[in-house]
Amino acid sequence: MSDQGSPNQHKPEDAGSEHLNIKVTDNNNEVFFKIKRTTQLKKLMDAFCDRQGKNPNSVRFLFDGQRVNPTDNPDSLDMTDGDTLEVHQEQIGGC
Amino acid sequence: MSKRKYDSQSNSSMTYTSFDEILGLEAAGFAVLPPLPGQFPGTAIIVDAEETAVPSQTFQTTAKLFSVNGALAYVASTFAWASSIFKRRQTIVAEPVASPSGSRKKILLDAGLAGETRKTSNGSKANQLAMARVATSATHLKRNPNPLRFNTAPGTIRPLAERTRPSTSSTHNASKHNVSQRNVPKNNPTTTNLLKSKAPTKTGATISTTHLTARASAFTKARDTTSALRHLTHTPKATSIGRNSPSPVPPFLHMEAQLARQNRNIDELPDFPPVSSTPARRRKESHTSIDITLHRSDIDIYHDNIVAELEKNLRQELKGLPTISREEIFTNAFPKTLSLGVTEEDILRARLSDAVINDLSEQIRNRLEITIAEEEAAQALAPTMDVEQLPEPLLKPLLEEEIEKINATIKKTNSGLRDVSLARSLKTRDMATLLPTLFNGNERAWLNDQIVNDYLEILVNHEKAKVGFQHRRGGDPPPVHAFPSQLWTNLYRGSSVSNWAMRKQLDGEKFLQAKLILVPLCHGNHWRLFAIKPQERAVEYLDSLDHYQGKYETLSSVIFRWIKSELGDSYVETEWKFQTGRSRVQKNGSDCGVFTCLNALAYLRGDAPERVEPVEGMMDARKRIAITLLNGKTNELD
Repeated sequence: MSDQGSPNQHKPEDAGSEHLNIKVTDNNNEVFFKIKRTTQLKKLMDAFCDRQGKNPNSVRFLFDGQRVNPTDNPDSLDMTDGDTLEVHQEQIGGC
Repeated sequence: MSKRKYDSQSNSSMTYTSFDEILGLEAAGFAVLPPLPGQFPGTAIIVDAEETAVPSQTFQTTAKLFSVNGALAYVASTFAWASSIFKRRQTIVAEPVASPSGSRKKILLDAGLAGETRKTSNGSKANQLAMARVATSATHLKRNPNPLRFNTAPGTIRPLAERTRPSTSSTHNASKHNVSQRNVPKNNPTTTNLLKSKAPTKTGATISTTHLTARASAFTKARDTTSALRHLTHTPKATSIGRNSPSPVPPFLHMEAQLARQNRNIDELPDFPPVSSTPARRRKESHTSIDITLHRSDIDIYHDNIVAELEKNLRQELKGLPTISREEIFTNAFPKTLSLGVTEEDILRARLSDAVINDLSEQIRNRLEITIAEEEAAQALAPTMDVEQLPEPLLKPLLEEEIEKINATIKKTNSGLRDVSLARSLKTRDMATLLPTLFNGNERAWLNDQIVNDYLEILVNHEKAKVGFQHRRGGDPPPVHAFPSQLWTNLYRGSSVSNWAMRKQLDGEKFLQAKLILVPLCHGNHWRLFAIKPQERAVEYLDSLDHYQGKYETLSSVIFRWIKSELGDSYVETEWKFQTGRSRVQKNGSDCGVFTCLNALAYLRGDAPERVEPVEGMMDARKRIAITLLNGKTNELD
């Protein structure tokens, strides 16, 4: 996925760049997290749901149009510092 | 009381009215079956002594006919007896049939036709009924003598062809029939022209010989017409009664062999007189005879229908089409109408055992395998130009293992009560929106975004993999892509989607290079689909609700605004077309999500969305979608 062409400010070798700030928002509330690049996003998702009192099963996390799985991490999604994770409510429809 | 002389030369079965004669016969080397206790000795059945040595309940007799004195019936065990008695040495199979009361004598005729002799248990209700029936039949016969059925002229022998009717029932003798004949619908299971089919068939001889021409010379010697008529008319009627009690050895078991034997005998033996090594078996010339063409009994119709149903079912099975259960076969095979005096219980009691059905199934299967192979070969040879190529169904029927998989998933989730992860991001509760009846979901059966988005993603990933496409930053645009339904949410409320297309290499000019871009949307609790064909500059709006199909202005303006923002200067408004109304209409208030999925499938396959077949509940489609989700891959696009 990620290739060398990405204009990343953080050099991979830099130990200080291991952490990045991620904003998680559901269009009403914003929560900022500082996580490691290799941390599973499950941790962040659970924390957000805990804080906002949401059922993890009824919300969806998306990053730039990509649906986020709990096992994804910032690296696998090609995230950079300051990126935003969107939180969407479950959609259901029939008629 | 008629008394006949025993003619040692003819060795034919006769009626014996005294024990002395019977004893005399025994002494002469013939086995005489003893009467059952408490039964009136009226008739003795003479069987060849050698033949009775067969240590089975089945006796093979060589056309030894006994005749029944009308007034006195003697009950031994039960037997089948042959049709052509003196004319042809036809081997028959006689089967003892357990009598429920023990007071009846039942004789199974050749090929399952059963005759019954009544005994004279005075005051017996059954007896009175039988007599009444016989009387009725006799009167009827007098009024309407049917020359096709009965040839009462003594000594006349109708030609073979006359005695058999053209067959529409079972198929057999694969070597003789061509494919088209085999395809003749078998909705009229009358009789099989068994006598005509010469080649001994492996599996073939059908079980339905019914029009059996019995030449009962003994009848002519009956003392009066009533007596003869009673036999004539009684026999078909008794056929149904004779099977009233469940036969321990259903006659079907013997039929094939028996019929083959019958055919062979006819082929091998000269028409007249029969070849016999012993002078004792020579036909007595002076015998006059009566032709009896027996009715088909209801039970025979039932059995024939079972065979026809079995064959139909096996054909389906061999072709991989859905089949019906054994219970349904029995239900379908039940005769439409019943003869007078035959009750449903009578028919139901004649139901074949599982062992017989298995046996039959195997025989039919063997035959069908050859038949189908031949048909396929013929089809392959046939010119395909004339044949209109039917398009493949949009949804493949579920395979055995796919049904298994759904069942296993149901078990794993304890019918939806246990929330577990089923696939990459699919949980039990998501599945419950797709198949609520199986996974304890809300019965309104509305799909959630997980199902729709997952399904569309699997489909487009399959298409991308087919052409070896991989997303690379700054790389080529994908041929097809499906955005998650949250795109619409953002577009509609004005949230940023600035990176969405760019992340998929669909920004700017690249957008126009894609063949198909799918945008599912859940708007107002209703799933719909935008299918964007950038190369054709076309947008199609697919809505499975009739009254929404025309209300697209708001939605289309939003989608065009997005296209315009993505394309920037490349957007030429006049180039773009918009179309609506192509989706089929759902039959309820639940299935729009399924229609959204299927419409997407149709577009990705290059099919028309009109091919989606609306049915109530869309259960097949739901299961197919479930399988795709559980497998994480699709076989619908190959």
